[in-house]
Amino acid sequence: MLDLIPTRTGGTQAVGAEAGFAWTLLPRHGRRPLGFDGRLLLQAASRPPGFPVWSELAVHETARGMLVAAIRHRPPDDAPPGTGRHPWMSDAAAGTDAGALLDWLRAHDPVAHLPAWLLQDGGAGTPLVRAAGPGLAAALRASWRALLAATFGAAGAAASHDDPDAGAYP
Amino acid sequence: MNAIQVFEPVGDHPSYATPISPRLSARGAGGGHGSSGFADDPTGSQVFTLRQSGARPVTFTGRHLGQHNGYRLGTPFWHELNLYQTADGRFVADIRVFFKAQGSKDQFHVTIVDSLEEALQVFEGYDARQDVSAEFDLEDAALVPAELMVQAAALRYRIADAQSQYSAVLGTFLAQLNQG
Repeated sequence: MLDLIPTRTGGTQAVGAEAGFAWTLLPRHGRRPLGFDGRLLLQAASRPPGFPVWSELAVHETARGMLVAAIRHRPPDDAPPGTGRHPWMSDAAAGTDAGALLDWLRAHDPVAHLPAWLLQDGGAGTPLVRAAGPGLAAALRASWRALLAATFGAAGAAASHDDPDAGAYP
Repeated sequence: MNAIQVFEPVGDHPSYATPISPRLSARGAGGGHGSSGFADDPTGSQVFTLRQSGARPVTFTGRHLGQHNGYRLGTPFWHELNLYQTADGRFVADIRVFFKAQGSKDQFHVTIVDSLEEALQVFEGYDARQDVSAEFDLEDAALVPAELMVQAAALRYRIADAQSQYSAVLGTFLAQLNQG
């Protein structure tokens, strides 16, 4: 028997077989958000002190048994006024293959959609040069890789889904 | 403002394989999550007058369905997106571009369409590259090749930046429409 309870979004959800699932909406960069009934399986964040970008990832399970991975890069909570509250980049992808979703997370470049001015450091060098070279861009990419490794272990750090170690997840 | 349903449902097919999905949906009225029905409900209607670049202002009675302003420090301009529904059931997509430089003219793009889907496509189809202007003259004989290369590289990143900046605003705007 299914009962209906209110959800955070004002709708209702079934209790029983689908307990714990709630309507979830994940924004995506330049696209319509993904919407689904789901529940959060895990979330992790990288918030290095002094970094101008905080990176977050999450994995949801839909009521229909699919997996949804979400990425978000946003200004730190202590960002200067005017930097904005909204993420610089959000994305989400759904699928039934956990390995393919992990590949999607690994293929993500945390620098690709960041504002160019963010990569400027005291105005030294053009943003293009700095983005292509060492410095903050490299540190952000390293931070993203570390977040994946910390969250998914060897599978998160693997170079490819074809890597034998990737089979360890999950 | 009113919540409407604008999202891509997670279905049986992986979304990571289809960067531009043919399964996008825009759901106005009807069942499912949230509430709508604003087309039949006159509550909250008011008169709007929207400025248009290169044309007379457009005035209509309707509802403001959503807004997102992408202002940030460090950017030469920013976008503001607004969506309205008129009392006669049409939709108004309003894209505003505000420039920080003195002397620059802000841009106001207003499009009136018959359906929510068409309005969303106006926002999704907007090309933010048009908002970037070259800060150098290709015909300027005083610019040596090295300077032209630097200027061209700078223009390239500013164009990419404008597109990404607009994508960020659009993504947030489309998500917020669902929350009213």
